[in-house]
Amino acid sequence: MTTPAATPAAVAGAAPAPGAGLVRRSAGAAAPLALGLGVLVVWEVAVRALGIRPILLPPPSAIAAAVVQDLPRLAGATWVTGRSALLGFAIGAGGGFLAGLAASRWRPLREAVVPVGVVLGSLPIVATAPIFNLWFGALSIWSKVAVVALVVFFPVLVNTVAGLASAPASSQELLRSYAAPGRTVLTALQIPSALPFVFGALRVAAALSVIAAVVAEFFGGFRDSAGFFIKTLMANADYTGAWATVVALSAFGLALFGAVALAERVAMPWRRDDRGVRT
Amino acid sequence: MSAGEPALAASRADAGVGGVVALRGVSKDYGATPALAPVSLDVAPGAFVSLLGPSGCGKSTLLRIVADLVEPSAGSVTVAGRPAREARERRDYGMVFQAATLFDWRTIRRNVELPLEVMGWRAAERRARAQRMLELVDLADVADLRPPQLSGGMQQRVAIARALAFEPALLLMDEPFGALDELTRERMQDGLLAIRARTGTTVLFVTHSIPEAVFLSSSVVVMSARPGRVLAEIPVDLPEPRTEDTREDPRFFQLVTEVRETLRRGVRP
Ligand SMILES: Nc1ncnc2c1ncn2[C@@H]1O[C@H](COP(=O)(O)OP(=O)(O)OP(=O)(O)O)[C@@H](O)[C@H]1O
Ligand SMILES: [Mg+2]
Repeated sequence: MTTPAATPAAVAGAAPAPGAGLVRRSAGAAAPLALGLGVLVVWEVAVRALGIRPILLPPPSAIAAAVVQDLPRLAGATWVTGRSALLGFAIGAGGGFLAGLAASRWRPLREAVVPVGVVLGSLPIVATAPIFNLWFGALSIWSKVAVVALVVFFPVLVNTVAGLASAPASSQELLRSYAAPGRTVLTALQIPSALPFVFGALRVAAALSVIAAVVAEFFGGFRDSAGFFIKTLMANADYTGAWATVVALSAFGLALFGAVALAERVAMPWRRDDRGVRT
Repeated sequence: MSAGEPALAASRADAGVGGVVALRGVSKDYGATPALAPVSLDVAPGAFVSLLGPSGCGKSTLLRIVADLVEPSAGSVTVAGRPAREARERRDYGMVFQAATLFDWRTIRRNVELPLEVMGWRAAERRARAQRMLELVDLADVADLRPPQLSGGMQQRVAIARALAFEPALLLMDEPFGALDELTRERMQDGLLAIRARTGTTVLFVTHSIPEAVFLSSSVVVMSARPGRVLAEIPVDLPEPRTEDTREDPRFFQLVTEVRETLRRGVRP
């Protein structure tokens, strides 16, 4: 029997045992997995028991079979759409963050940027997609990228501005007492304070960017893109095929979301020291 | 009320000693509410002056004015012979705020290094100094944790280590030991006096503890209820260095009583 020796180094709030974090993390993943599985089972059973026609709602098993059967083509289509989403996400997020930094330095811009950003950020894609097609060409990737970037840009911009201004007055006073130059205040205080805001926006933007890319493709795009697939499959009444495409896109969206969540953990190690499960 | 008019506070400067801190008729109104009545105060080089007064009487405000974090509504402030603003820009003082104000994204060690980083110290020197300061406040063992993992009193000690790190010639301390238990508090008091004996730092110190003020100070400034004015500046003629024996000295108790009675006068004029 090994009694743990009294460790004098056990200071207040010392990090939990190495295993604890892992257990908690897998416990955090278990709940959504269980929920997802439950939904699939209910869906499958309901479709079969009620005899719902596949046109209305194909059973998950049929969708899964379609995914497996058509995997190479689906993967190709998802990548065509996904790379527009990725590029647009990167440009929109990077641009939004930089514009937020600029806006926070220059007061009139900062005050104008939030209302304008909210309006421009809520422009419907059905309006922007045809315009960008006109500007960049329907068969250019840049018309899709532009739609995505626009959807991502403003939430990131608005949240960056809010985040940079969120540092408590007491912390600002502390740096003022050191006569810290503005650049130091920005890097030592404002940007770290803004990170939770920025990553909050990025999580939402990650999901939005895939949606925006697909919808943009509805208005014309590559013949091998997921958006084009969905449109033609629907026209041919191959609803199971359309669903399979949606599943492939969701997997890509989830991966992008996961990448953002991972970046968040890396960028803000202090946010997981004292909190177990992040939401 | 004859003893303890504000004029008494100014007498030392009139005697020709250049105050490290010199306030002349400094007052502060927040909007229409007066927070601080005109105050004149001098802190001589090497002095340890404590401010004592009822909650809300303007002690923190006074400290902030000295630190050039708040503009006085009237009066003049010089710190180390310069306008307060210049003194701040020259980093002539270190301040311990009433709240610890640590940065969660920095480890304890890097919080202590913060002023040194701002002032452009080299990494190795920063690290060595931070280590020494953390040992001083008995927190070397938590150097790699982050602020949310520390108790309130531990956080306050980190803030003290941070203010001491660059060995400022003037320390402004706003209830630095307020969150500590009695024994830790006494250890921190001894530590502060030891640093002061070594570096000759001038200290302007806010506290609600009368024994603490008497034990530490070369003089105790007693303020009235809001808007605060100086009721009296009571010189503390206890022998130096202050030790455990000081806390048992009959004169110590006499002074504690004197300060307490002066404080009472400010509450019920
Ligand atoms: N930024 C502010 N705006 C408006 N009023 C303020 C502000 N700061 C302080 N006050 C007011 O000024 C008065 C003095 O405040 P201050 O913080 O200086 O008191 P204090 O003596 O430090 O009190 P305590 O001992 O409780 O810390 C208080 O009545 C407070 O409400
Ligand atoms: Mg105060």
